[in-house]
Amino acid sequence: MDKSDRMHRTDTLCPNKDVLCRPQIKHWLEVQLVDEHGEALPYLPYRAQNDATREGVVPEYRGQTDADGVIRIEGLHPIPITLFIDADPLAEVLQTRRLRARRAEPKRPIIGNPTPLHSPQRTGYSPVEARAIAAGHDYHHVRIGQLCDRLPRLDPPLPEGEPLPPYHFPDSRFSGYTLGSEVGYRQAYKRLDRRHVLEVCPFRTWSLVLHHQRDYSLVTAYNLGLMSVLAYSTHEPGQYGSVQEFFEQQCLDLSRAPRVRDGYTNPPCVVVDVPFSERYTIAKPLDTTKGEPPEGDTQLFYAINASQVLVGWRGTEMNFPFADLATDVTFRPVKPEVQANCEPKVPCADLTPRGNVHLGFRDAYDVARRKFAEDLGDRVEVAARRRDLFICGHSLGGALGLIHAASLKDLNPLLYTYGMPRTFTLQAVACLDDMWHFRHVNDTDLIPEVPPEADLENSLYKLYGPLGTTLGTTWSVAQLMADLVIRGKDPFYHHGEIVAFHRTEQHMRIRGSENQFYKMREGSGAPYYTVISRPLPAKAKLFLVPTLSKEDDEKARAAQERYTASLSPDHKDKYFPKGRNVKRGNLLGIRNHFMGKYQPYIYGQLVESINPSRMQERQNDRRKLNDQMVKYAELIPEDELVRDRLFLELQSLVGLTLECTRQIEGGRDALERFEAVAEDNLYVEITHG
Amino acid sequence: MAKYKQARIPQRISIALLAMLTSLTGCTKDRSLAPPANSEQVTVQIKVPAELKARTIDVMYRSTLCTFTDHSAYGAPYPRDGYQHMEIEPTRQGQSDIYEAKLPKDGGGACQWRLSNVTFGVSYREPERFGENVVYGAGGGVVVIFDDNASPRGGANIKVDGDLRIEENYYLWVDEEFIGNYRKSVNLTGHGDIYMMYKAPTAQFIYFEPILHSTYIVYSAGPKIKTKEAVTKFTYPDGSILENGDYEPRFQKLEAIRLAAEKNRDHADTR
Repeated sequence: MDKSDRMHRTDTLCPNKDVLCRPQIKHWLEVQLVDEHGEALPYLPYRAQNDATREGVVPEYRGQTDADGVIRIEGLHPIPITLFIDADPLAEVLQTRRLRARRAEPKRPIIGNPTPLHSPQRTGYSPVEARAIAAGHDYHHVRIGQLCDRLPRLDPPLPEGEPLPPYHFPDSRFSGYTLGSEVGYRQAYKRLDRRHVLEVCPFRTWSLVLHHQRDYSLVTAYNLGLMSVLAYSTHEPGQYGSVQEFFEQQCLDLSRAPRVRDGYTNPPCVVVDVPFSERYTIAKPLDTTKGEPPEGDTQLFYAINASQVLVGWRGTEMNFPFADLATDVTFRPVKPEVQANCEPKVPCADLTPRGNVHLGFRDAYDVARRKFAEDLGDRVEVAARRRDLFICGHSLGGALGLIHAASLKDLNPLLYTYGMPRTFTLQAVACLDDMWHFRHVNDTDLIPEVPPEADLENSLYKLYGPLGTTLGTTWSVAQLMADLVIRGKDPFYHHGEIVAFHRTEQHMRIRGSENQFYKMREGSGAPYYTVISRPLPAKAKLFLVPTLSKEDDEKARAAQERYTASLSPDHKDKYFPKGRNVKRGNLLGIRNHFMGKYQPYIYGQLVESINPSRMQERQNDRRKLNDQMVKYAELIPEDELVRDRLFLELQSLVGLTLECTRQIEGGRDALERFEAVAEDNLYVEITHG
Repeated sequence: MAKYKQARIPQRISIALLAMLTSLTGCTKDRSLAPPANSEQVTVQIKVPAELKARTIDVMYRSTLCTFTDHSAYGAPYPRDGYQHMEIEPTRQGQSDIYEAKLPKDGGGACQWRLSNVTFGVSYREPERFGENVVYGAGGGVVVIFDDNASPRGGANIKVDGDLRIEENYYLWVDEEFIGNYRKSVNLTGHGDIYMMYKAPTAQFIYFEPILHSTYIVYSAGPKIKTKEAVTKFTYPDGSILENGDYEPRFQKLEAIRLAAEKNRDHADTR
C-alpha cells in the first residue's frame, strides 16, 4: 500500500473509518406470472422479502400483479429476494388454466439413477420460454407450491397427516420462490434489473379419458384395457406400479403422463387435465385374501374422482392350458338370486328376473361383495349416483365385472371386457339387453369359448348329483376339448357387443388340373375333383367393431359413403351372430388370451388412428390384403371376398371413434400428448398367429 | 352299454385329475399357523362406547418361505409371499368397555408365518333404532400394517414409529338411497377413510378409542334417478343443507358444528 495515502489505512486502534462514496446503488426487479399458454395471471396479491425486510431495514414489499401479471419492485438491495403469492387466489386461477399438450416428459429415473423424480423442466419445450429469452428476460418454470405462502384451501381437502403431493408442492415449508439464490450471495444483483418470466404450471390433475356412451370408443377401450392390467398389480403399496401409486401419485404428477407398470413396456394412459379439486380422491385396491389362488381369491380396485367411478376386476390364473382354471371351470349354472346387491336383511330383486349365472363366478363375486360391502355396496354405489360408472376386467375379471355391472344396472354402468368367458345363460342375458358392454375377443382366444354353449345343468350335472361341481368340471373340459355341444334349454351365452380382433386369411380356388379327364367331370356334381383351395400369402389382423356400421354419426356416414359395400343386417347377423364369437376358439388360442395380446393391438390401433403416418407395418398388411383381393378377385370364393371387403370397411371406421375424444374439452390435447409419448416399437404386435 | 361307457370316461379323467391334484398338494409343506407360546405379541385394545360394538378382528400372516405362483396380466408367472388369515373375536376386559385381543407376532409353523396386518374396528350397535330394515353401512374401521405388504384394502400413507394410539371423533350419518332398491343405512363418519390406514412396523400396543358424538347426526337422501346433475342432499345437525355433489358428509363441517355448539353451551353455562 502506498504510504503517502493517508486517507486509507487499516488500523486496529481506530476501527471506525469514514469512507466516502456515493449511496449504494438500488436495483429494480420485474416478475411476470404467466400460465403454460403464456396467458397472464393478473391481480394476485404478493409479498416479497429479502434480508433487508427481515431485518426491518425496509418494510416488506406488498402489492398485486397487474393486468399483465407483472410485479415491479424498485429500490432493492443487491441481495436475493423471495417472492410469495397468496395461496388461495393463486390456486383458484391456476385451477382454471389448461396444460400445454406437449410437455417435457422426463424419463422416470430407474433404480440407481440419482436424478430426483421432479427436477426443473428441461429447456426447449416451452414456447413461453422461447419468447421470454428472445425478449431478453429470464425464464423459470415453477409449480404452485414453490410460489404460494401456504397450502391453499382445497375442496375436497388433502388427506390429513399424509405428505403433500410432491409435484405441485415440492416444498412442505412454503418458503417462497427466491430469485438470485442460484448465484452467490453478493452476486444477486446479476439477477436484478431485469424481468423474470415465471411460467407457472396450472394447478391441475390427470383424469383418464373415458367416454360414458352407448357408442364404442377406442380411447376408452385402450384406457380400460390398461385398467384391467392395473387390476393385476401386486406391487407393494406406494411402489411404482401399485394401484394407489397410480391414482394418488402419478395422476397428481403433471410432469409425466401416468403409466401402468406392466413389467414390460409401461404404456402411458390417455389423460386429460382437470382442476386439482376434481382429482381421484379415493383409490383402493381390494383383495379378499380368502385363500391362495386358485381357491377363491378375488381382487379388484376402485377409484373415484369428480366425474368417474372406476372399478377394475382382476382375472385369475390363466395358465396354459387348464391347470389353474379352478375358479373358471366350475361350470355349473346357478340361479342369479343376488345377495349381490343387498344385505341379508333387506329384500331385493334378483340380478336378473330369469336365467342363470355361472356358479364359480358368482361365488368369486360374492366373496368380494361380502368382504368389501362397505366399499362396493356403500361407497361405489353412492358415488355412482351422479358419476359415470365404468367397470372393466380381463378374463375372469370380465365375468366378475359383468356380474357387478348387472347388480348395478340401474346406475347405467359402462362395461369393457377383454377375453371374458361366458357368464350368464341365455335367458339372463336377455334381461340385461340394454346394458352397455363391449366385449373384446382376440381372434381364437379360448376363454370366450368357455363354458361351452350348452345347458350343462340339465344335461350333465344331474348325472353327478352333489359332486357335479367338482367332477363335472372335468367332464366339461373333456367336452370342451371334444367340442361336443349338448342341446339344452338355457345355455351359457355372451353378453354385450363384440369387438373382434380378427386375423383374416384368404384362400383361392383353382382348378386342380387342366387334364381333360378332370375337366370332363365338371358339372357332374363332384366339384372336389377339380377345384383345390390354397391359402393366399397376405394376412392381416383387423379391428372389427360391428356396432360402428349402424353408427349414424355424421362423419361415419360420410366415410361409409365412400364404400360401396355396407354392412346390411343380414350380413351382420351372419358374421357377428349376437351373443356368440366370430371365430371358434381353440386350444392353441389360449396364447391369444393374455392382456399382452390384447393391449398391444389396441395400442397399435390407437396410435395409428391418431396419426396414420405411424404404425406403417400393420397398415401395410392391410394394403397387401386389399391388393390381394383385387388381384385374386376372380379366384377368391365370393363369400370370403364379400366378407373381407366388409371387414376392411369396418376396420377403416375404427379411427372415427376418436371423434368423441376430440370433442371433449382438452380431448385434442390429450390425443396429441399421448401420440408424443407413445413409442412406435413399444410392443411387438403379433399379427400372425 | 354304450351309454354306460360314455358316462365312465369323464369319471375316469376326473378321478385321475383329482388324484393328481391331491398328490401335488400332498408334497407341499404344512402351511398351517402354529404360533409358539412365547411369541412376542401385539396387543389391540378397543374402547367401545355403549352405542357401538367391536368388530371381529381379521389378522393376516405372511411367509417368505411358503410362496405361491401368481401370474401377471400377460400370463408371466412370478412368486408371491404366501398368506394366511385368521379371525379373532376381541374379548371384553371384565365389566369395562375395553375389548382386547393379543396377536402373536410369530405365526410359527413350517412356513414361519409373520404377522403382516390387522383389520379391526367398531360398528353401530343398533341400526334398527333408525327404523325397520335399517342396516349398518360403513365406517369405523382401522387397518394397521406391520410390514411392507399391502393389507386386503391396500397400503397406508401414514407411518407411525412405535406404539399406536388412535382417538377419533365419529358422527352418525343416516343415508337413504332410492335408485335400484330402497336402502337406508347408518354409517360412522370419521376424519379418515372408512378404514383408517396406518403403517406401524414396531408397534407393540395399539389403542383405538372411537368417540361417538351421537347427538350430531347428518342425514342424507340420494337422488331418485341417475343424472349428471343428480345430487345427494345432506342435512347437517345445525340444519344447514348441502347439495353440491358430495357423496359422503364433510367431517370438518361436522367438527365445526359441534365445536360451535359446545362453545355456545359453555357460554350459556358460565352465564
